[in-house]
Amino acid sequence: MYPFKQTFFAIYFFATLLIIGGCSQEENQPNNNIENITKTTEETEINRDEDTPSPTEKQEKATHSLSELTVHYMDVGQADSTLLQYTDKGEEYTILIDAGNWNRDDVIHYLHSQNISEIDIAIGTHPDADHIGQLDKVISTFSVGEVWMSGNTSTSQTFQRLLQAIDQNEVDYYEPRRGDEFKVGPLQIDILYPISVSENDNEESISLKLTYGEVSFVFTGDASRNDELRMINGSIDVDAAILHLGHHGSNTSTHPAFLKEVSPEIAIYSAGKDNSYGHPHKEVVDLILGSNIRLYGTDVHGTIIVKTDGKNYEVLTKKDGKITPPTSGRVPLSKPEPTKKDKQEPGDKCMNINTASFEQLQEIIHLGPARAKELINLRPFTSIDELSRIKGIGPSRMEDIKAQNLACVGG
Amino acid sequence: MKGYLDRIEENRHAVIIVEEINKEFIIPFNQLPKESSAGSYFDISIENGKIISITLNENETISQQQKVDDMMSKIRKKNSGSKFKKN
Repeated sequence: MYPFKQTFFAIYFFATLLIIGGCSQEENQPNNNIENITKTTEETEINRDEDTPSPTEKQEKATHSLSELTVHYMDVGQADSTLLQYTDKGEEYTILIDAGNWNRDDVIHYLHSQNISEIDIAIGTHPDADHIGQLDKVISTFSVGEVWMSGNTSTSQTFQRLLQAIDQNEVDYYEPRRGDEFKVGPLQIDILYPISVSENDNEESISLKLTYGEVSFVFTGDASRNDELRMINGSIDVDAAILHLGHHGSNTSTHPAFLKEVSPEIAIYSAGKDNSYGHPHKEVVDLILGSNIRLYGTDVHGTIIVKTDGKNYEVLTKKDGKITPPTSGRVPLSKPEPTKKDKQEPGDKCMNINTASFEQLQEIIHLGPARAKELINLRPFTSIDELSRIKGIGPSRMEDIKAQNLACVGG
Repeated sequence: MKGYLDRIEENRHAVIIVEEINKEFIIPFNQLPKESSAGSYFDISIENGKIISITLNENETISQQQKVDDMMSKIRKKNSGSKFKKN
């Protein structure tokens, strides 16, 4: 466990490393810091919205308990790659969405570090080299069942190596289209896009909604704002707790109307530190933070992991950090400011758990709405240690709560 | 050596892949030869880590396109659906 002071130091230290860069050549070193993600920074329990559709269907899905789904938003520099892993009835499932940049091998390293041997579905959202980059190596290194691609092509050597890998290995090939539905064990996949492909718009990306119990994830590759508007014009409900921001947080994606329809609680983008394009763009960061959506980025947090049992989820990051909008289009943040919600200056504030409001209680680490409610029901508390009476607060979370040094009992 | 225009980011950054040295270069879109578009192949010279000359190689562009078209039609024959598909 990490004492809170160290955590706070880490934020500060990390922020000082964010220096403005204007390189004309992208970094080319493989990222070796991809293991040992241990630190919980957030835990959120899902609020049921009253207007959430078809509650009966949801309850039905939730009746049998699901094992843990782990979604790894890998830190692969200025590129994209996400890994999903879960088991059901003794069977392991692995899905890969995009495979990093063409001249690195960080995706392969990461998959090895997770002891992956088989991949059920490997998806190349679109043929740009920062998305399908290592997909050829993925196919030749691991046992891949199916490859999904948009149908748009590229003439890059990267794309040609991928086609050769598909041809030479025993993999199925499929071009999914809007309205396609898949059931991969307990995971439901709904294809949001494309409707068809035009061959002249490389940004037309396979976009999909993944639903595990009551928790949904949306991925849109590099889909443009116009593509997003077409997605919400269809009959498929795009509502999801966790949105992977399109095009690395660029202002070419994340139309406010699309964001409103998805209405995520968490937004995650993948971008390289000090990248040449100024990703994520200020407009997008402002829009997300202004909508009270928690924002994570691989440039700031490293690899981001979301774990869910289909009801609750938690976000784990390798590094602490807060994403603030740059003052101009492409200047990264310069100064850390702990947010009200997830970070507090240690030691200078005490929250009386016997009197704090439902909302205030959720500033305490590991306390989401459900646990805050339970805490209120269990009042009064005579010591912080008694918080272990709350379901889900075990010794390690207790240690985090003490390290945060925010919760106290009145006196 | 050969360069390839993989994509144009934000309508102004041209991303050029140079396989031979395993590097990519990002140059302003307006410094590309006329008639360039995503998918174009170039003959380029690099000095001190910078592209100092770039000319369009139309023959290469056409022949690579032909290769991809052939491979793609072969792969599409495998387009047999997904075993996970519901509908």
